[in-house]
Amino acid sequence: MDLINTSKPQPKPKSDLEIACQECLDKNRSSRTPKRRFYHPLLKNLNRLEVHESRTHQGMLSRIGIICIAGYAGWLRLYRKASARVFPRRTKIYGKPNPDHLVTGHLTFGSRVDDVDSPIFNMHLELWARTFWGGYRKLSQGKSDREGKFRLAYDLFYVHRYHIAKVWLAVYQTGYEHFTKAGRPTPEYTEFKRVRIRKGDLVGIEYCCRQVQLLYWEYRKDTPLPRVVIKSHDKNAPDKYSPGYNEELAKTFVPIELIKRKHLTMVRMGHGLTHQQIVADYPENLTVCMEKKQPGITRGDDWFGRRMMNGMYACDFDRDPKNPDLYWVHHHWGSYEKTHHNYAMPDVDLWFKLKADGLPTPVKITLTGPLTAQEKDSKQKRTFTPDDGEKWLAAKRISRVSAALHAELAHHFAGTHINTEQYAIACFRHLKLNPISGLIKSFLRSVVLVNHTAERILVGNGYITSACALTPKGIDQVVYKTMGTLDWKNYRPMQPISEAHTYAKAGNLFWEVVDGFVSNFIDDPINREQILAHWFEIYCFSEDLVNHSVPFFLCDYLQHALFDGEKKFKNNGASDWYHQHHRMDLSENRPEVSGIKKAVSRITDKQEGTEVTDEELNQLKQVCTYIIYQATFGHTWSNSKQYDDIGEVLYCSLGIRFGKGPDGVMGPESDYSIAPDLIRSTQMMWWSNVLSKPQHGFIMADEDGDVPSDLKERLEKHRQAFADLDLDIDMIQSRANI
Amino acid sequence: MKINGISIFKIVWTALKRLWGITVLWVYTKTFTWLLTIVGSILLRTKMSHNNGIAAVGSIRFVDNPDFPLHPFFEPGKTLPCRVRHAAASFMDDAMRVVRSMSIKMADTSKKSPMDIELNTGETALFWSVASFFRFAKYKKTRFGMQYEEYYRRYPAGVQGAHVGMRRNPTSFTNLKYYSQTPFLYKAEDKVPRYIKYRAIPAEDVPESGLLDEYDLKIPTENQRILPGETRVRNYLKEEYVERLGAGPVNYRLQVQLHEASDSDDAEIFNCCKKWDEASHPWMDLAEITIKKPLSWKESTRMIFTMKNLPKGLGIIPSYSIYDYNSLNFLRRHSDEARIARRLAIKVFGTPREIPNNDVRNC
Repeated sequence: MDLINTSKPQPKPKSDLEIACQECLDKNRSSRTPKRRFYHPLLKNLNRLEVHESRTHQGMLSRIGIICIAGYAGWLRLYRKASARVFPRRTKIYGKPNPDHLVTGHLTFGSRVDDVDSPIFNMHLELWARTFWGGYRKLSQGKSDREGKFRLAYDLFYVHRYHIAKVWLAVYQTGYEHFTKAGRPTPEYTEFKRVRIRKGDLVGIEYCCRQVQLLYWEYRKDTPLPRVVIKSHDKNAPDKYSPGYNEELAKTFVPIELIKRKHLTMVRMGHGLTHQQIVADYPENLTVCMEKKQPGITRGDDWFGRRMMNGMYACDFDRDPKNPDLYWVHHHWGSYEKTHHNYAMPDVDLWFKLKADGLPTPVKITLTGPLTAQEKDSKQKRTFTPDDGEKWLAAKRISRVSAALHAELAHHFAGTHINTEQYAIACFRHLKLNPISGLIKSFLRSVVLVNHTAERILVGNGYITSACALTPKGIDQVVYKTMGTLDWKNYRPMQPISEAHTYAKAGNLFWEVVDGFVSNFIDDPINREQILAHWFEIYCFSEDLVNHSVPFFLCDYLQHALFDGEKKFKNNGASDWYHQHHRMDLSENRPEVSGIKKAVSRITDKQEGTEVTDEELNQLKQVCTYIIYQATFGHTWSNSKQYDDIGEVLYCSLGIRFGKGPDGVMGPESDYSIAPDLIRSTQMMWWSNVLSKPQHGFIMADEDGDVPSDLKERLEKHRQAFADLDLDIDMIQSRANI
Repeated sequence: MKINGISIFKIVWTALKRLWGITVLWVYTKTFTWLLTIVGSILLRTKMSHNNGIAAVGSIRFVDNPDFPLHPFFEPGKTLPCRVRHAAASFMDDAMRVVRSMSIKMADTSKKSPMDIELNTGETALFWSVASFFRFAKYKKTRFGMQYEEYYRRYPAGVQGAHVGMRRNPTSFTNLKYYSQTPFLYKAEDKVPRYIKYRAIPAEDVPESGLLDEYDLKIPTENQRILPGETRVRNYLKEEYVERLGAGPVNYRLQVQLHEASDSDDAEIFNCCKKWDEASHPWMDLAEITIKKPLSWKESTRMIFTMKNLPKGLGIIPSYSIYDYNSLNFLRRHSDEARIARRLAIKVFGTPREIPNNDVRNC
């Protein structure tokens, strides 16, 4: 058979497994998930989700109340629309602003104590007045300078006309960017803070608003992670979900929530709920579907290797340093704080060899740590091979759970959500006039809100803590150390280890598309000129990233394996087993802040555009590409495949119990004391559904109209190439919004 | 239809607006004056500020060869009897950080005179129009030697004026420089309209005392309290003035700055928070003042200075609204009811108590 790549490769005959998989994927894709009906409870927004019972509105009175509130909100929207028509906020400046009559002040970050002297520059400000009959009059507008100071000239005599009822200073944040037909970003200003000024106080010369402190994308002080302060999700969060997002979420979420509630009630009432029934009640997932077609197919080695390589887990396949013929995957849990009362959580080492079709097949699994509740030795190693029969199946099940948790915490939560948040905060704090703001802001939207909710219900004291051995501190440790390994500099997607490594190939293709789009944007002469003109914003963006980045982290094993005694690369960094592309570039000097080496590299150390070199512009391209890649493809892959890979409790979950049998966690699937308990099981199913199902915020659908058309066009050109890699470009999310 | 290229409609409209502005200004002025009359002048028998003062008598002689077009009132070599009154604004304690003043009356009477001039330390003022003066009054809120905190927060020009005008423990009233700050009309014999600012400086070239140093500038502007460990008594400055007059006459020079009016003048020329450029508007000697004898507390308290006491052609500049820079002088000119009422109240109820040299400070 001819295996040589040609421009039009001949389709290979598909195996039974591939056919079954494709059929199930098609079936799941075309099957309609249950939708919310009018008598179902109402859900206000994502932040109302709870692991146990979400805060929906179910009671009759509550529902009537919420309908009334919704009606009022609708009326209010209508009123505002009508009001905007009747009393438009014109861009015209009323009166003749006199430079001798000013409203001044300075903007700073922070509350009374923190960040009190950090100026907010390039903030858009407008001085507004309203007439007695409701008309708006713009009196002045301007920007804060590098010291956060602003001076708005206004017409004193216009302000004191008798029809002017009230005056205020409005501080605007440069909102999400939309693009003109020519592809240029158009800034949108959303009012962030209003400072009331007594009309009578405007008496000419200079009225000073003094220091206007804005709780504007503040960094949290209670965590070492770069997280934003959200005091109240519904009231004063610095970001908002796009219109339609919550409605779309409620449509798919409420029926799933009802299933979970039914199960919780059955458990409470002792109505004999089983794991099978739990799985059956939720929409069918990939593995359930395949098991129906061919029992045992998803428990086999082929399926295991395939999913480890191209599924949600998308593991890092390094060559085994001791045996280059094998590939090695390691999941380390030993260093993190755990409880060993209920849940098993051994370190997992997997060895694979590549089959002729390029897919891996497991040859050996080593589990390090207790496998029964009675064992205490955390160093005990046990190795299993395909010859071990039931034990081999159990070892694979443990490996799947370990890989799923690793994917959930390290790839999904830390690698995309928290990683993206650190760029979002720095971006929204500093990028306002620079065209880069228009390039990346739409991809960074909503992530801080989702992370805020996830911190409450998924990590911390949320679901994962109750469903695996990790304590809240242990989860924090995982996230913190993972963040310490993430950097944009010299990052490239994972290199494919074979033709069948579709995850890596799709990642590389997507990177190329985004890289082309970003380069085209930055190289555009008009954009380039503006980028350099507002380079100070990039400098501050870069400084904030570095200053708030977590410390650089490299595990002990890699420190010894890759570096010599003088902390220099062995063999000049030419490691033949460790795949560096998608990992932190260890040859780069880490930036230091107060003597601590930081994970995130500087983009520039220049404050003025005139001093910027081509290398720094290339670094800017690299960081923008990285941000967009992580917020879109990176997040999509780990998020959307959750239901495929953790949507069947007995197949895989985020935690696994020691069980009551003599072999502990090595018992068979039929021993339900090993699987998560019934409550955790239904919650698990609920989770994976909620995270994978919502249908809002895709690049190609561009529901909010804020995805640059150039990116969409470039993706469209590669639609077939992505399809050949089992990736439907219509399913790539435009932001980490779930 | 146009007059001199300006639409007649615009002319009429401007005239109507001005009329309305003057009406409003008059109403505001009178309302304020009557409030001040009832509360300050009749009930408390005090001025709105500058109660802490001392008057003295002497003479004023206009210079022989003035360097500027002359107004008939300033006849070269003419000598007039003269009174001056030095005071400190707002607080009854000379050791506090306050603006000092010098009022000149070109007659040896307590009320009537051909010309009164009111001057304060500092070339620029703390407020610049009737509207801003009302804010100044509104945000006064005096407590324990602190005042105008809110005003200074809102109006940096007020802070600037305070820094320029306040004096901390000057050694004498006689070595300070006093400025009219607001401009007046000046119609000289050549009929060219001009604006004029006055100032009084020591006759001898002595350094000005009491200027705020680096330490004082760091103290919040609203804090006008005496310094910790202050040993000067509450009346030390007035006592020094009496002593000085006892030793011999005190001499001042009255100087003027002139600006030739033109249609292209920016309104900022009237802004009392901005000084005129000395290169283009040099100070020129107008008169020499010689003060010989101090007056009693009672006589000093009875004195009133008014802008109605101005010769023809040296009056106030017209103003057309409460935001007009010249409205401040309008207010001063049209608030005589309060002054007259105070004189009357003093006559009926007696002179307010003299300031004692006791330990009650910062008030």
